[in-house]
Amino acid sequence: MNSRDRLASAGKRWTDPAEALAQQVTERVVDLVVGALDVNELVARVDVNAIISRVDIDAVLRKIDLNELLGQVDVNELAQRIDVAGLVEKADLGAIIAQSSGGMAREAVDAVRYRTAGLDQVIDRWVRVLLRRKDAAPPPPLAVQAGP
Amino acid sequence: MTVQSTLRYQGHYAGAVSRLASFVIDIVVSAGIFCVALAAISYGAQVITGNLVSWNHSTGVVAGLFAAWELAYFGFSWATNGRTLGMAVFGIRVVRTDGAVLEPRHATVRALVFPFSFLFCGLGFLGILVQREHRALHDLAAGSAVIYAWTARAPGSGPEA
Repeated sequence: MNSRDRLASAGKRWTDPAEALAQQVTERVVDLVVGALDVNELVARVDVNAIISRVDIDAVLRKIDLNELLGQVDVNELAQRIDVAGLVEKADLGAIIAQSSGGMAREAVDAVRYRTAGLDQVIDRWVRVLLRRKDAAPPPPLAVQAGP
Repeated sequence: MTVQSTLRYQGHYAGAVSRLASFVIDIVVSAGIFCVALAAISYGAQVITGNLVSWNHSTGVVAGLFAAWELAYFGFSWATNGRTLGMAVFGIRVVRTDGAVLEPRHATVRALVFPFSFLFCGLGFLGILVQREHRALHDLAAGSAVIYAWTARAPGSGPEA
């Protein structure tokens, strides 16, 4: 062992304990600081709205490739997860169909009645012309005018 | 067509087309019921007696039964509801001349006089065309009139007239 090696060995005997000591001191200081910090108060001081307002959502969305994202979604698997029978049961399709068809039938009957009443008026006009009747059509009966 | 557009007919005297159309429905329905009833009676008699039973149309019994059935069909419908099935389809109703509900005795008179309106090529029905309140012979006899009695309603908004 030459003089240079002996010097390095002596230095190492001093530096290793010093390094270990520094490590311990640092860990202790960090523990003390973290323990002293009130994280809740720190978070309360942060203005989240201000941070969010600085974020350019449009720019973020522009960077997202929706096609690629949707391409990764397995639609078939997603559809299989849907409980169609349960949905149909909850929706009470029978009542919906009955209500819909009932409404259509009622509208059809109303249309037939309206057209028939229109034809009544046409014939009534012809008769009035033939009879040269000038006076207006009679008003509804009194009890009907008064209502039920 | 809207509810408002039908309101102008509400309560007014019904015309010839509505009344004729409702009569056609009534005749078809009542004759159909009569035929089914005759067939059911024949079948029942055949099951009980074991012999083939058929109606003799030449004796006038069937015609008499049919006339009685029609009288009962129209008379009962007018007396109880003020309308027959055909009148209900076309939204018309028989009322007294003042608009009040038709009483059973007026309905009976109307049903009894109704066949006479067919005499002389249906001369009794001429009043529906030329009379101001569209009253036929049986209406004049019973003191009745036929009016529009329906209001178009939106689906699901409850019963209609």
